[in-house]
Amino acid sequence: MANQGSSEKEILLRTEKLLQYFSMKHQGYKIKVVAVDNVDLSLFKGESLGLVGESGSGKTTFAKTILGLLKAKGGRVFFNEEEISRLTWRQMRKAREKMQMVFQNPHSSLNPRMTIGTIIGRPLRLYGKTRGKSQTLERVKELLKVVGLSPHDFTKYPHEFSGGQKQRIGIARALAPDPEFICLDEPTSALDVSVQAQIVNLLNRLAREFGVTYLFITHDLALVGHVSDRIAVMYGGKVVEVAKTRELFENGLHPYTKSLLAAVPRLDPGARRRFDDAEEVKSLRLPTITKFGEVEGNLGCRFSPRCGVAEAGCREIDPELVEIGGGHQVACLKFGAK
Amino acid sequence: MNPNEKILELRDLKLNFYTGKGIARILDGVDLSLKRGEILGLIGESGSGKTVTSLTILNLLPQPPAIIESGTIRFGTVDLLKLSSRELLKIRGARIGMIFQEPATALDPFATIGGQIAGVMSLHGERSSIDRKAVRRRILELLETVDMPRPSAMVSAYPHELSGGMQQRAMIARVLACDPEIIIADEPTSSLDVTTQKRLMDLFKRLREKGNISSCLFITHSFGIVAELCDTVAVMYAGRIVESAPVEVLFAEAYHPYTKALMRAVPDINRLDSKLEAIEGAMPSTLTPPSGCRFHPRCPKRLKRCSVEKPGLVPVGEDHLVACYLYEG
Repeated sequence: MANQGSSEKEILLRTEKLLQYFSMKHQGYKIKVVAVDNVDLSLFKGESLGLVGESGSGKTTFAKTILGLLKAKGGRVFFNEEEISRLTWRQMRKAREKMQMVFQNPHSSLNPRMTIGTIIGRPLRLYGKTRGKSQTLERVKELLKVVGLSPHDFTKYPHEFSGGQKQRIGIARALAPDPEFICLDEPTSALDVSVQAQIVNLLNRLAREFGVTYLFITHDLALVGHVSDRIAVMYGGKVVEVAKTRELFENGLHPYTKSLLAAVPRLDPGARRRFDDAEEVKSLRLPTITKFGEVEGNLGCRFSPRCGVAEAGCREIDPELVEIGGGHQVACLKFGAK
Repeated sequence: MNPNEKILELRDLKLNFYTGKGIARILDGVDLSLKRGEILGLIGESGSGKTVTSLTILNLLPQPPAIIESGTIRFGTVDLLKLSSRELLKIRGARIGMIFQEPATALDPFATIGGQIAGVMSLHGERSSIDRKAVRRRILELLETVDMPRPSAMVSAYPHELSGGMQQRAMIARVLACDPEIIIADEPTSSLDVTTQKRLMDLFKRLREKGNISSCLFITHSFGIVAELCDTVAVMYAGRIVESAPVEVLFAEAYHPYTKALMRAVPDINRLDSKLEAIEGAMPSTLTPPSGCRFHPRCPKRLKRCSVEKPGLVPVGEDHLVACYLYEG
C-alpha cells in the first residue's frame, strides 16, 4: 500500500456531477450511451485511489474526462481548487503538466519510430523542464534509473524492450514533468504476474519517494488491494461505493461490491467453494445485462436488474452516494440512500 | 476402471517454429499426463507454451512453421502424432473437445448457435439416425445444461448477438454435444469480467458433478482458478513443465523456485499486507533460450550445473514431480 498515514486530507482533485456520454445509433434510433453519470469523487493529496469495475463500467472514460482528453458533457472538475473542466485545449495542455497518464497497453502507447530518449525527453522539452540537449539527456538518464532501466537505453527503440520494460518507459515519461497526479489505466493488465509485481512495487516506491497521487484503474480487486489506500467501485457509469481498502474488503456493503468480492478466486484450494454455496453467487445468476444507455436518467438503481436483494423501490429511485461514517460512502437504498 | 489410468500422456514433446528470424524453440520436452476423471490445470505465463501444447494435442498448428521434433502424445492406446489427418478427424471434436480462449473468434459468425451445434453433431454422429426434431431437442437440452438464458430463442441467434459470457456458454454446449472423453479448455475465462468468470467457473463445477465433464486439461494463467477448480496442477515455464502436483500439495508447499516465486507474485485478497514479490528479469526469448534450465538466469538459487544441464522431472512426494537440481539426489 502506497501512502498509509497521510493524515492531512487536502483534496487534490475533485469532480462534481461529472457527466460524459456518447451519441450513437442503435437499431436506427439515436441513443445516448451514458458512460459517466453524475460522478462526485475526490482524491486526497498523496493517496492512491483504486477505481474498480467491470469492462464497460466507465472507468477509462472517467479518467479521460478528468484529464480533458474527452470534453466533459456536464459537471465540473477541480484540480488544486482550480476548475479545469472549462479550460480550452491549449490551457488544458499546460495544466496537464501536473496531471499525467500511463496507458493500458505499453505496446501501443509508445511511438515505435522514436527512441526512448526522445519519448521521455519530449515532455521535458514541452514543459520547459530542461534546457538544451545535454541537460535533457541527463534528466532522461536519471528517469530511466528511477524506473529501473539502464541509463544507456535511451538510444533504443520501443520494440527492443519487453512489455514490462515498456511500461517502465511509460511510467518514466509520466514522471518526467514532475506531476502531482498520475492516472494509471490498467497499467499491468497486459503484463504477466511476475512482471506485474515488479511494476506494482515500482509504483509503490515512486509514490513514497515523489509523493505523487495515483488514480489506479483496474478490474482486479486483489491487485488494487496491494496498491490503493482507498477504493471506489464503479458500475454502469456510477460510483456505487467508496471506502478505505481494508474497510471495503472486510465490510463492503453495496450488493455489487459484494458480488465482485465473491467473484475473486481465492488462493486456497482447502477453502474451495461448491458451486451453490454462497448467497452472493445466486445474485450473479442473472438475466441479460441491460445496455447502460437504455437506463439513462431514470429507472432507478443501475444494478437493480442484476441485484439479488433488490426491492420495488430500487427500480424507481436512483440512489445517491451517502456517507455512512469513516469516509465510507455507499449508493444503495438499503444503506440510507435517498 | 483404474482410477489412475492415464487417458492422455505427453512424453518429451519438442516443437520448434521456423521463423524468418531463426528457429524458435517453443516446446522443449514437455512431459504431462492427464488421469481419467481429473481436471488438470496447466498454468504458466504468456509465452510459456501452454496454448501451443494444447493445439499440438489436436494437431491444430500449421506445419510448417511449426515442426514437431520429437515426442509422443498417447491418447488411450494410440499416438496422436502418428495418426493421419483423416483418423484424427474422428477424434478431434468427438473424443477430445476444445474450448478456445476467444469465444468471439472461435464461433462461426455466419452460423446460428443451433446450427453450429448441429454441425458438430452431424459431423460426428451417425447421419441416418438424426432427425430434425431430435436434433433440436438435443440442442435445447445442451443449451439448458450450460445455463444459457432463453435457450429456445438462442438456438437461432448469431454469435454477435450474445455477450462474451453467453458466447462462451454456446461454445461449451458445442463441445459437450459429442460427449468427449477429454475436454481441453484454453483460458476459457480470461477474456471475461470477474463476475462472468465466476459464473462460468460455477458452471464448470456443476458440469463436473453431473458428469458432463470428466477429464479436462484446463489451461490458465491464474492461480486463483487453479485453486478453485483443478485437482492437479502442472506449472510450465519457457516450454517445459517445471513442477506438477495435486493442487492442495502445491499450495501447501511448492518446491520449484519458479513456482514459489510466481505464487508470491500473485496479488492475494487475503494477505494485502504482504508485499508482492517480483521475479526479476523477463521470460527468455525462444529464439535464444538460455542453456541448461531455462529459468536459471532469473533463479535466486541457481547452482553451477543449472546453466549446463537440463533437470528432468523427479518425484519429491506422492504424485509430486519437480524439475530442479536442488531436489535431485
